[in-house]
Amino acid sequence: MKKTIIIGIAFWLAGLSPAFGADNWPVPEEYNVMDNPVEFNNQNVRAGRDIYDKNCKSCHGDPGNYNALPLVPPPPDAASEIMQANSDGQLYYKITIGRGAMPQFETTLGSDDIWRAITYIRRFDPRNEGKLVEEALRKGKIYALVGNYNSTIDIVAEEELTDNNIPLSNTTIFVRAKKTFGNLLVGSITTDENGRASYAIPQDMKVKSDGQVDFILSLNDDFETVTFSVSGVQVKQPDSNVELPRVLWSTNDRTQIWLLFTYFAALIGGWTVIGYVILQIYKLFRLGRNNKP
Amino acid sequence: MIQKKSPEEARKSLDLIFHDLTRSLRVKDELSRFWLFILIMFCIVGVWAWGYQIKEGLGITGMRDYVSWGMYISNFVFFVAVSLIGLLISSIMHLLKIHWAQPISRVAEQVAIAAVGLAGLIIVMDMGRPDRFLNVFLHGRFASPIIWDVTVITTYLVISLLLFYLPLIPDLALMRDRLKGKIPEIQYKIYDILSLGYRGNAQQFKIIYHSLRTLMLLIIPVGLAIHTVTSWLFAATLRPGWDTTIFGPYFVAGAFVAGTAAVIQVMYVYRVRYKLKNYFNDEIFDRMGKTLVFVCLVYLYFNINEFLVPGYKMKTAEGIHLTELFTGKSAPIFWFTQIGGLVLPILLLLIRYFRKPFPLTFIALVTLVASWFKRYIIVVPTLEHPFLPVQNVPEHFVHYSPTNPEITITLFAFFAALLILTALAKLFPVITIWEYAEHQGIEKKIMFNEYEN
Ligand code: HEC
Repeated sequence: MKKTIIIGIAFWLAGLSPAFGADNWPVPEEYNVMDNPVEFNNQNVRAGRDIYDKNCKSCHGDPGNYNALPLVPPPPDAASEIMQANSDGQLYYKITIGRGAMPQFETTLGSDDIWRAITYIRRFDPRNEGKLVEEALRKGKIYALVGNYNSTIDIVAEEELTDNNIPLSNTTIFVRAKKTFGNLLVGSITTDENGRASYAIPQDMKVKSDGQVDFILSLNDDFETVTFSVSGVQVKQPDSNVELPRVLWSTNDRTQIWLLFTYFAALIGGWTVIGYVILQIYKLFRLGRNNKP
Repeated sequence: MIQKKSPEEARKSLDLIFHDLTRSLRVKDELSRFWLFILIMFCIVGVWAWGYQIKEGLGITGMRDYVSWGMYISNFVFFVAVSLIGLLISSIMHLLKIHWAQPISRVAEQVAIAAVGLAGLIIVMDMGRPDRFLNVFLHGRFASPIIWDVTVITTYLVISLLLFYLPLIPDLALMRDRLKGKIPEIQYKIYDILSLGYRGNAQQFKIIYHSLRTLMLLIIPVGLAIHTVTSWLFAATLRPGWDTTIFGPYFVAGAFVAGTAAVIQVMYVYRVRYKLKNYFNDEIFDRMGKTLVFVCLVYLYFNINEFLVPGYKMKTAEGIHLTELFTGKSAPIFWFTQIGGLVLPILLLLIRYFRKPFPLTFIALVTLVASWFKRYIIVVPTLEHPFLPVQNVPEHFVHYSPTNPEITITLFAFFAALLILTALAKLFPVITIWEYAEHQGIEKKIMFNEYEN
């Protein structure tokens, strides 16, 4: 009886120990009092969300949904009490240094980005409830033309107000190039006080053999989604040398011809012989029928 | 040269041979019913496990992101290996006129058909979405060794079936002539249809002989291709342990070891079960023992190359892999495959006593089991050691251990293969009667005389 109790207690302790470990993550004194230098506003929360989605979500899950990966010890949900019980500085320390399966982000994220991620985590702090008022999205419009012998994209942006449109000054326009899958951010430019900007197309862009690029312009998240495409910009002369080389391991239209030839020659050759033998069997069958005793 | 027999003698001796070699068709006792029952039960369990896997997905296996080829692919490689014996015995040995091997050519073909058929099925069982199997043909990339493998395996299966069927035609004719009324009507009907009205005349025989020759030549490149291409599935990737140039011949040599060992098992069972002591005689076992030594020596030579050369250099990733094999977690299996599967048969089978039927069969069984584990050792440890370190994943992603459904499905392949062998042995003689009889000096005239036109 005594023995079973002792064993029972031992198991109970053993079961508790990882939980102990998770709670007890010592943070050096100087971090405890650190303050988040990033202002708590919509823009920074949004930036933090992008960082979180890219670097943390795969393990920690969607904040508030408690769908983190089942690791040991478990990654706490961003909205959980465990997470929110940390001070800003403690969060900063834990994210920077890491522990066990929690990676150390010191080497992969700048301190600005870590602070933005913390800002985003703080958005789920009950104490911050109602602090952020989502502003209504603004309505913008972009027009663009290719100028100066295909070396610039000349942009005009304006904002649609209820009664009239005004030039959209000092606003960032993102320039993306269309790829086979998704779009690649190639640069951005800020409009002047007249809502105008001239984006210089980078001359070292990698392009397809026809030398053409489709550009897509867009505004930032403060605006309703709006894009403007400038298609078929002749960035470079068409160049047949850009053609990807044929390599053995590639897709059917890019693999080397001799390989396809060999494969099909062997296939057809082998099956022709098999077909010939089957024909012989058929001949045997015909003979047998004619030979009926 | 064998003495021609007088017609009287010849007829008598043909009757005897026919009686002995069709015994497998007649045996219907408790034991064979029990055997069938066991096989069918296990096959049903296996199919059920597969159904479960289809329903739940491959997550029920032990395979994860890193080790994505586990027991199924090891099993697949094993079965492809075993099937290659058809090439060695019924083609190469026939073409080289090695007469002692003729009585076992049908056994070799049976083993080849069962093994290569199952190999194809195992691949489908390893698929997460077997319903999309046809996409392999519709959207396959011809530059991929996987497509080559699918192609050659299908081709090899067809050739093996033809190589089984063609020499069977005269036997079917013999059974048609001699078994009327002695077997169920439907079975007789099947023999009658399949024998294609063969009457043993010169024209018919010539067609069979000629077609057989053609196939024996064709199967050489195809047979070498199936195992070489299977090895390329591995060798064409950049991984420690697989990134080597001798994988093709290494696999082919290993295949002959596995296949020879498998044929010895089947021969022994037939010998005992169907009382064929005079056919699968001591001499054949003796020679099969020597064959096994020979193929093991060739394979040993490749193994030494495969492990000594990289072991000398111990390049970073390769070094981790080899250390794991030589002294690490996989060491027990590794040394079992090397010693049980190579050193032991080579040393023991040099002694005449061990080439007697029973000891030989036992040693070959150990070799066969070692051959299976050899495939496992080729497939799994390499996947556990990718070039980039494995980080931040749950423990069961790092080390592979097969689950129960996975083992059940793997065992299914064995039972299904045995079921195919059993069915073939119950339906058709296990030795080519006419060929054997001819060797005993019985002329074709006598075999088919009653119906000579
Ligand atoms: C590979 C999975 C993984 C990724 C990616 C990951 N984490 Fe973690 N995280 C963990 C695990 C596991 C723990 C628990 C570690 C422990 O308690 O030892 C943890 C713990 C934490 C903690 C400490 C919570 C506490 O116990 O007080 C914070 C804060 C945290 N993660 C933030 C982040 C942030 C921010 C990111 C993205 C920049 C991130 N994590 C990315 C797995 C991950």
